[in-house]
Amino acid sequence: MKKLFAGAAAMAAALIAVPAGQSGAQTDADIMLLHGIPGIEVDVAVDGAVVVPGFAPGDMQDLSSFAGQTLTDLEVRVAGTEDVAIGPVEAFDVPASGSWTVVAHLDAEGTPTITPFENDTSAAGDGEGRLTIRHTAAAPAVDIVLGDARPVEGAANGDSASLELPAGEIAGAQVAPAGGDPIADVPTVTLTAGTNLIVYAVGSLEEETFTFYTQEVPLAAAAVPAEGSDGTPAPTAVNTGDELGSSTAASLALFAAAAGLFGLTGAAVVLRRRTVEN
Amino acid sequence: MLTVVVALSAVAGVALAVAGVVARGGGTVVLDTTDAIAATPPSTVPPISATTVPEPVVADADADTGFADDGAGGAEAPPITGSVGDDGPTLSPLAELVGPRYSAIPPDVEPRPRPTGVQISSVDVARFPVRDVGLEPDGQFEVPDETEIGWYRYGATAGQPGATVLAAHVSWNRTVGPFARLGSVEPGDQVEVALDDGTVRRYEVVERTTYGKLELPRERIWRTTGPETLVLITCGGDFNPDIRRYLQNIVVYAVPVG
Repeated sequence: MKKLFAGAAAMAAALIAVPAGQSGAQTDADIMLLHGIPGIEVDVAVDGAVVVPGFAPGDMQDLSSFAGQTLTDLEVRVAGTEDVAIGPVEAFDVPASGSWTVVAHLDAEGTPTITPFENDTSAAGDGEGRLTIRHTAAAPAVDIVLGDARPVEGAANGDSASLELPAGEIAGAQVAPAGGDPIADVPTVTLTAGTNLIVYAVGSLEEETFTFYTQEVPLAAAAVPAEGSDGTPAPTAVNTGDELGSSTAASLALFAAAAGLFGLTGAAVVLRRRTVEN
Repeated sequence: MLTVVVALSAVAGVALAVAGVVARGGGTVVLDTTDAIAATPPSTVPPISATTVPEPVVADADADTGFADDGAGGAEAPPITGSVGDDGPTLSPLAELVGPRYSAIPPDVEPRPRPTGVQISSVDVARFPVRDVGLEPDGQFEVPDETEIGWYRYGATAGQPGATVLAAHVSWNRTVGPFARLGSVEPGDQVEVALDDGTVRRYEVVERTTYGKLELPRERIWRTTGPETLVLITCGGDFNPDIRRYLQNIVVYAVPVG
């Protein structure tokens, strides 16, 4: 029960730790509450009655309509019971603007905690999306491994990293303790153009509840896709030949530029190597 | 219980901090529930629960009604939300304002099969391995060197909707490239694509077209929706020595057979 109550405490903290919105203004806001603690189901009550019933691990509840409002007497109850685990919290101020995901999760030592993340919804390029990786698990700092590359290194609990990438399938990524061997496979995901695909590492390595949750957030309107496009990234050119006997300096320069880039662009280069070895 | 105490202390602390900066509603909910109430028929039905209800609520949740609701009263009670199970708690009218719930648990998706080789009946390309490629940092197609054929991983894969694009050099590094003879491929030629799941997908060439470099038809080639098509691309046509590039692309289209 200790763990359960601790989790409920984190959930209550989640609901009050949302950054305060600007007073008065009720502007567009996207606010999602993510339950990122495996094994604990709760009800969230306001003013004596349940508002979010049966909130299970992996659930996301859209609280956008509460933007800029104040909730009173907030309680977190053990799901399906009247047992008040936490609260009442006298006043809860919901942010009024921006895109936020408030994540109840475990910290590196396994203690329930709360981290509000603001989601980057700025436009990406035509045919591109944004991949965001967030460490919200009871685990030490990790690397993201893709083939021979580590596009994210040393990400600690509470860290968030984003990369803009062409839309498409992202398969074969793994998680490793910083500098160590891979310990878990990241699920295959498909990055859609014009979205921020957020991957959360959650749970506890020690208690073998380590897993991944994902969330998609639409980006601000990007450049209007070319007529006839279904969103598939289109190359600017396909240069498939030089004269017989010409210099390869241009291609070598391109390769060097690609190899030098941080992030999954570098990983793509390595994917090429890996495939060659197959 | 130590954790609970700590957490409660934190809650109290934050609550105080919030109270200091937020105009409070005297213990009431300051949320505008007009929409939610309008969406639910006004309830003049008194609580009909057979169990103890601690305080009046706008309408009774079906959770508390149990078997006592068999009758007209139960039929008249407007359900506040149909998504709550029979064992659910009493719901606040605010529950109507809560947005949709989603699952963040990702589906278990197997990676797509990837092309590993291609064979064209009229041209020997089977000895060249196929590997997946993307885009160069400047946005150009990432074309492999003269020893390989590139499968465009942002497009379709063989056997699935959309266009599966394979591209290779006509010439590179003082050597003829894998697609050096793509310009001689004719409609009716047979093409086979081997996948890493061990299957082979068969196609028949239906068209060969030469385009200016800037005139590749995006809606036909760069797509993951629509009819399954195999698209083979190389360079051809006039060569511009100033930029050491060909001015045209040769594109072969093939459709599945069998």
